[in-house]
Amino acid sequence: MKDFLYQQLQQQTRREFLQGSGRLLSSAFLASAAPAALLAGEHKLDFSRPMSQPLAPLPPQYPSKVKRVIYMHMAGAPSQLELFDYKPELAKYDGKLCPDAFLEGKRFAFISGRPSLLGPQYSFKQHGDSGAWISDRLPHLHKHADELCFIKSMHTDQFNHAPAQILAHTGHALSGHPSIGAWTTYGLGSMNQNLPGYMVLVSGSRDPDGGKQLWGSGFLPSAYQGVRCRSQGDPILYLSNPENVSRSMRRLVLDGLKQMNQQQYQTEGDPETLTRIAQYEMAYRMQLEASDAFAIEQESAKTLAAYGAQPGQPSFANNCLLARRLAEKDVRFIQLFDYGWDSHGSNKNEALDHGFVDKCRQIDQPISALLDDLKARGLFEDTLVIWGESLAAHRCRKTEGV
Amino acid sequence: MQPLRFILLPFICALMQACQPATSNKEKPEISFNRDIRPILTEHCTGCHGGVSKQAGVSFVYQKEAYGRGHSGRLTIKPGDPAGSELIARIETQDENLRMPYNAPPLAKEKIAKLRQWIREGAKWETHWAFKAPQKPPLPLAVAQQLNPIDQFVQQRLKSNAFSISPRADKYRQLRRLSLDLTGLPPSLDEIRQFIHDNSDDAYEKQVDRLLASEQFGERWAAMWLDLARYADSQGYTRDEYRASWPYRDWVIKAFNQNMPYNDFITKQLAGDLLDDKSVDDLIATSFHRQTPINSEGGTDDEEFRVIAVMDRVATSWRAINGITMECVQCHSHPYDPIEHDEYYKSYAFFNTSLDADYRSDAPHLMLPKETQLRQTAFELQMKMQTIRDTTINTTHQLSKQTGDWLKLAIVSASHDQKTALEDLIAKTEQQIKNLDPQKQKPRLNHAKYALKRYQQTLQSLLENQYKPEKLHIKNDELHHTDDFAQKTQISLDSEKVPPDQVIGAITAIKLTALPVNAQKAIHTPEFAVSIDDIEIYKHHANGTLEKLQIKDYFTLHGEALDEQLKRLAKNANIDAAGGLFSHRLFAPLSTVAVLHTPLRLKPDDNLKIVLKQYQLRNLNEGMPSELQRFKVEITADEIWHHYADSEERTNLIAEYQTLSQKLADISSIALPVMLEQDPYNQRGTALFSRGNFLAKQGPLLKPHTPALLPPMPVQSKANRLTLAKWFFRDDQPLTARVAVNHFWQQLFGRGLVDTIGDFGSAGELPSHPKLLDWLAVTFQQDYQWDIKKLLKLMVMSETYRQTSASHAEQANLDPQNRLLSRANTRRLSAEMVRDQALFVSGLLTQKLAGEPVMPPQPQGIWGRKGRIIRDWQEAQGENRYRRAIYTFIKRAYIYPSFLTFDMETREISHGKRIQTNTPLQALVTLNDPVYVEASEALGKLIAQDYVSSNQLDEALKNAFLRVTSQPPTSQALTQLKQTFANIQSESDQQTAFNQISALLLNLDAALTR
Repeated sequence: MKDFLYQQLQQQTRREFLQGSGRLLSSAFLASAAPAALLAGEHKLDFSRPMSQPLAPLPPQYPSKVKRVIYMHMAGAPSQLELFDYKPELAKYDGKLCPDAFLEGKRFAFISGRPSLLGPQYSFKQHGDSGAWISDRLPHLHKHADELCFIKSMHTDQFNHAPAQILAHTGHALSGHPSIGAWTTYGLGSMNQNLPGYMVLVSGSRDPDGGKQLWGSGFLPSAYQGVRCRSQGDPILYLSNPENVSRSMRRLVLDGLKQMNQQQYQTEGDPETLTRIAQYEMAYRMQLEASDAFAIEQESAKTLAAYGAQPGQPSFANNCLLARRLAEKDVRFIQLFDYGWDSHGSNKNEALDHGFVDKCRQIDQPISALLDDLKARGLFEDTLVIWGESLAAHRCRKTEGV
Repeated sequence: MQPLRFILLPFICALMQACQPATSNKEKPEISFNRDIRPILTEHCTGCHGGVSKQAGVSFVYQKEAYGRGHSGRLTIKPGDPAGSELIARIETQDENLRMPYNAPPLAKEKIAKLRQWIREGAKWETHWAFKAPQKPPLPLAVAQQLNPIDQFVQQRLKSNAFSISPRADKYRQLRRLSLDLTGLPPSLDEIRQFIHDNSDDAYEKQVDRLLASEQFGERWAAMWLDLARYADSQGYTRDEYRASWPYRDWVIKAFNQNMPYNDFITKQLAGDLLDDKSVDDLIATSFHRQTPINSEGGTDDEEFRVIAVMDRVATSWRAINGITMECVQCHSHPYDPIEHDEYYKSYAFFNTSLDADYRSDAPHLMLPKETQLRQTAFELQMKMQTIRDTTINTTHQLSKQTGDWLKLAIVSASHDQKTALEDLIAKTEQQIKNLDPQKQKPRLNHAKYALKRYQQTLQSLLENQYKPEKLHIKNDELHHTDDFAQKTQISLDSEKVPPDQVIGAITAIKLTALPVNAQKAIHTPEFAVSIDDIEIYKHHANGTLEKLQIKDYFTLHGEALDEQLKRLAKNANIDAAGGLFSHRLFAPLSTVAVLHTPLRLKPDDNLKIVLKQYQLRNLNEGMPSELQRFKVEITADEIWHHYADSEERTNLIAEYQTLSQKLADISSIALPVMLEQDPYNQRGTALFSRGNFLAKQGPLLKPHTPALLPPMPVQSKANRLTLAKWFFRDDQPLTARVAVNHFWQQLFGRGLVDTIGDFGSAGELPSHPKLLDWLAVTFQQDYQWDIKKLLKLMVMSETYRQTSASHAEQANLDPQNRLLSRANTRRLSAEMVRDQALFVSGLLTQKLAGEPVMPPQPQGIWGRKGRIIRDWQEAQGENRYRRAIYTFIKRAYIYPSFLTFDMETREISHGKRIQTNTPLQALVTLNDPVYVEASEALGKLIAQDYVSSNQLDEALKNAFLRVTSQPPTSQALTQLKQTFANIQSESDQQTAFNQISALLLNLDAALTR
């Protein structure tokens, strides 16, 4: 294998490094062709890498502590005012009409006339040495209070779910830009070539409003898009062999394929052929490694209980456990989406006193278990865990629905 | 796309350096501004001293500024005097605080030397190459030589680098490349054999002609155009509902197949609706610019997303047709090219007056019968309806002008009453519920029931709070109420009592006008919707009684309100039902003239009472409440209104409109979104957006115009999209032909002559073969009269196209990217081709042209959000399972997964180029996706049949290899194939082994490339 890679690199270095803008940023600063002036200066970021190995790892620009990211996005935007952002003053105004000062000169969708205000509906207490305010909806998380950093200064100029989610994930409210995970794998590559570098797990009744572009690659090559893992059928699309094809039979096909592609390379000399051979081998390994990563039934009963995970029953808890398993396998960017947080009360599931309570229950224990588990396995040190949303709740009750 | 531009620059420069040996002339290096100087300025200087940022008052985008003085007071560039040029002083100084580029390594010595030499030689400034019209360069070789002109230019360039064009690829490979490039499909076994055995001189040309004439040609080239057109079968954004775009896709296929000249192809797409004798097809073509996403999520601001769509049209038009990055100029002047900020908005003005406005319905539509033979009939019906509509609004405006004496009737008091409105609505809704069929109209019934409940709840809470009607403000004798008030309400206006000296005789007509609060601003930044569902006018007798006035007719002066009125009239002849005032966004006064049944005499102390029902039954606004803010009333005694309302013409027109719309309704049609212009009477105005912010406009209203750096557009009273389209095809237009030729070239050679397909500006790449590009451009434009097939034939007939792709070490070292074209580039098949080939070689492909999008097998659960119109993917059975890729349903949010894996674009914005990757996920698709499993099983059967009939395993395997890769296997390959076959057979059975051999073949490098 080493020889093979060497041969491949030999063939590719110059050619691939010089690939045109079709390979986009791949050739940004090139050892072989860059003008001397460019090299005379300080160390620059170097994203050059052949598009035939789009996920080859790259060194970070600065020494970094974090190797991988687990990003949990709550689609629909849970009310921060019921979880982490305690507003004792607002409680005094509960049920009262919104003061004019907040409404003057403004127009809000779904609101006309003068709406009334809603105070915190759940009780808050301070936790940990930091004294962080956390509501009683997340009891398991209380003990982690001192490990959390609360960022309460986020702003958005979008007030609809889809554009707000797209903004939160791509930096632009409009379509067409790469997602944060795509940028990450583009900039740093993947640490495990036998698994996708950017994997996406979705729970809740459906995908987030922003759809696939939340993990899309925008104008970057498609290889950087997140691979949405599935809770039914293959965890990764087309991962399993067809029904009547055993692994050993597939091996025979791949062996033949490899030989014939090698022959093709001998006569044509196109380095892409060698890359293709490598990709097929990688796919073969991925079949095992990904299947293994998704086999949560391998976990002990104790671990499953800690998360509240149930093999075969898709849930946010299962996804938290999967996140840990993928983190163990050095997947660079693991993203969890959980749908169903739009608690504006137009039906029971979306009511602050019903659906919201259930949603909190669904995430509280698993997140807490994930943090514990990462710590126990020494992964907490170099894994950044993010919990976030895309909009902030306001406290005016909607006044119109039809 | 923009961030990329900045990251790309260093690399582009590196590339230019790599190209240097080819362009520099060793004997006497002559400095060319475009080739040698501009790239240095663009890379190192223009970022801070350009169109956006002019640090210290220095800019290198315009000659005048570059030769002027910066804040230092010294001349930046002094022609002939390097030492006197501040530019040189600043790049040469040792003082890091002064040295440019600031905070960066010093410029390379050679670059400084070039700049010095250029200034010394007089600092001759040149217009960027792409902004000068191409001149047809002489052919490098004597005319007598029969060499294809393309080869002459390529050979000339290679010679100067001691290379030459490679020998032709073998016949098999030539045919495979040609067939996939022209039709997107590999050749069939018969086609291969025929070509191999054809030893005539024009054997290859015969194949070219056959392929150019085949119907599959259009399907293949449409794939290129649909990326540029951001084509999709859904609307985009959150809801991403089904959109019936497919007739446009079929139009593109047909246009390519019919070899529509490129100028017509573009003109019809940009402005087919404005052509004098437009056909139904011309109107379908305009769907090109209706491929923009709409956002129909509740609460979104339609004006915001309308603006985004217009901007997309501007960006797409300029990028796809002219290779200009016009979107860079949205917020400021162009950073690299001499395009001023306001010029963007002059381009924007061409597209700012279309009727569409991010409506949830995707209106305006062309109603298009599913049965193609009915299309002409339906089109004619709609054109007649359009004529009636236009006549109506024209007549109304004429009458209004002729009415000399509109007298403003002061409004003295106004109030609104939610309670009455709700009671009225509740009664109406209860009636509606009774009339709805619980079986057939279930969704509407449910909605009505839900609405009723909400009305009742709201009414209940009003009653609990002792609700009283509320006063509204009056100013200047008009309703003028800018504070919030409730949405579903009844507004009552009381007029003054007409003083005796102002009595104008019998009132014949009353003009009711909703006005923007700030008319000057509204014309470019519209105010919120007006939605008055019904109007009632009463005579208020001095004794206090109210007498409802009978209205004979309503004449509305506003297009949108007129459309609603006609829609109502078409359903119901009762003119009384046709009152109402609607404007999705109020950018101009919105008037309707109520013609009274009997002329009305007001006695002193009588006055008028006008009741406006603002029920908001039409969802104009995605949940944003509409509130009537400003309203005035005028009266006249002029009899012309009466006369016209009574006239036979009016009666006939309405009757005819009803007949026509009934006929149209009887034809089962789909609604294709098309481009249509606003009425000349009510058009949006365009002003510059301050820093690109659509809410902050500044300066005067701008008329549509093209940027000054390009040939001038004739000044006309009314420039529109058609003017723009024609301007793109002027003889002296420098970019249209070059950009078009480059698009086609890229498809055949794997890379454009200008690699930055969408950017021919200063920040784009220089052409690898400038003379060839210009020669092709002028030939395409003038000699070929935009004949696409002729152009493609010229390209594929060239030796440059036909050469082998095998590379030698020397070539690979000296020209690793093959910019000089000393060999062919091996290219992976596109996403579409990968699928189509697998189905074709396995005999599964349905070769059927055009039609609704289809849903071939796709794993369950890909649509993470279900649709309402089309709920979910419904796997096709029968022939639709095996249609070509171009017919596969494209839902923007969830593109067909295997296409995405093979680098198809997501169709959110226009793309000129797909970036090809090579990943393990691609291997999983072609090995395990059921589509490919099905194909390998079908191919396995074909091999088995072959084996049965020939009884020769070698023969069967050879044929299979030939089928898939279009070339016979080498003996080594055949041996390997037999070995693998034997290995698999020993583990299973013969058929399984054939199937697996098929899978192997479909995954060969030779099968995935051309």
